[in-house]
Amino acid sequence: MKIKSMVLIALFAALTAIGGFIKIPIPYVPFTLQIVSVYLAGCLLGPKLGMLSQLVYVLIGLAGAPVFAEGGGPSYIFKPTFGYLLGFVLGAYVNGWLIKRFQLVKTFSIFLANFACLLVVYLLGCLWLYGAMKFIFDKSLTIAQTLLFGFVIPIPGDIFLCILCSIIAAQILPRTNFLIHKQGVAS
Amino acid sequence: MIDNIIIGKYVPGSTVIHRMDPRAKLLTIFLYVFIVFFANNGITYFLLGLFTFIIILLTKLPFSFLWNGLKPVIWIVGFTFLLHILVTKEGDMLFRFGFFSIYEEGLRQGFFISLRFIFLIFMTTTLTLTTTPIEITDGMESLLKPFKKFKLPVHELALMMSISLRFIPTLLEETEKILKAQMARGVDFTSGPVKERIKAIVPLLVPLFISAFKRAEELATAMEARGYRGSEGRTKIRQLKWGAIDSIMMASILLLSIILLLLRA
Repeated sequence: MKIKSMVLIALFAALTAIGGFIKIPIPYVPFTLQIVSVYLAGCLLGPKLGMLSQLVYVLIGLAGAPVFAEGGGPSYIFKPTFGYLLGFVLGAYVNGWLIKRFQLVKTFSIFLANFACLLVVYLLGCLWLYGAMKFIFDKSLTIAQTLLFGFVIPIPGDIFLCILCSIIAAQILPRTNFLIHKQGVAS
Repeated sequence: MIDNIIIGKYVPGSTVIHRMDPRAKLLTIFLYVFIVFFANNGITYFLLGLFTFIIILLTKLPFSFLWNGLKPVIWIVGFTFLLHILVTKEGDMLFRFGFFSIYEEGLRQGFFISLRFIFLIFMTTTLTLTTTPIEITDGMESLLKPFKKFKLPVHELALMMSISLRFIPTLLEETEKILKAQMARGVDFTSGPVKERIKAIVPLLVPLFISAFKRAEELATAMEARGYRGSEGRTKIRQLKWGAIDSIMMASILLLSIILLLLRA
């Protein structure tokens, strides 16, 4: 792995943590910018590096740095919401893969890739929610309950950010020398 | 707009637990997570609780710190406790009020499952309270070394984690700077219609991400200039030392696992 790639991964992991600290003050549903870095990591770094950056983020959180929504530490694995964090890792990969494979540059097509990433995040989130309730707490939720708590309630804010990130990615992509569309970056 | 973050949950100290090798702590936690699920009757839960309690006493931390670790998840514990009480209808009936009835088995199960979860949270919180994230990273790198044979980039992952931890405060400062600079130019983050507020994030994020790319380039050049070439032949400023206390801890958790296996119903 190139040194520059490693440093970029580390900085994007730090940016994901910072996204979680920035709150957008909207009445009733204040939301954080955490998922922004997931979209952008996939968009700007490509599949492999994007995925690694999210992996590093999850690892420093598990190692005890208070970078998750409610602190950090290995106890986070037992939380029913840990699946979303795993979703970040896979979601960034899916996002980057789509953008690289189809050479997406237009805002709308980037939006579609981001949306696919969002669905992956929520898929893993719901699976983990279901599994955690079943195996750690010995009580299984129904599929409908899992979807309600894990998907319908939290998704609207993230869709907003999804649109926003497509705009941002379309702006940043041409301004960096690291275009993932060029060869040799993600090695 | 930016939350006050707790700068690390680590509480400095020099107790036995603080001084333990992070590798031993990680291994203990790893085993503990498995054996918690062995316990399924009164005596095994008692032994598990006793072990956890002794560890907590050894850290000499005030209980409020542990309570803070439990707070974010306490509602889940309460929720599952209620679910168990209301849904399980086995054993003797203890209480009845109209449709509402509590059975012995439900109460027992709810209590034990909640206890299991609280033990897990206490143990893992103790780890993060007595060990810095950097120590844990070092410990993980050392423990995962054998996996290098399977092409797992252990050293690289550990290095990226250290860089990331180091740069979180720096980039946070940068974010605040950009925020103020854009506010000075008239961007309004806190009032106006929702659509405008969301749009206002664009002039914050674009410079933030572009500056991250620039910083990465500078840092990579600096590392290359100083001859960084991976883990081969690299010396460390923080050395891990495995002492007697670490062996004692490993022995006691192994002993506990065997006893729990023998006593479980």
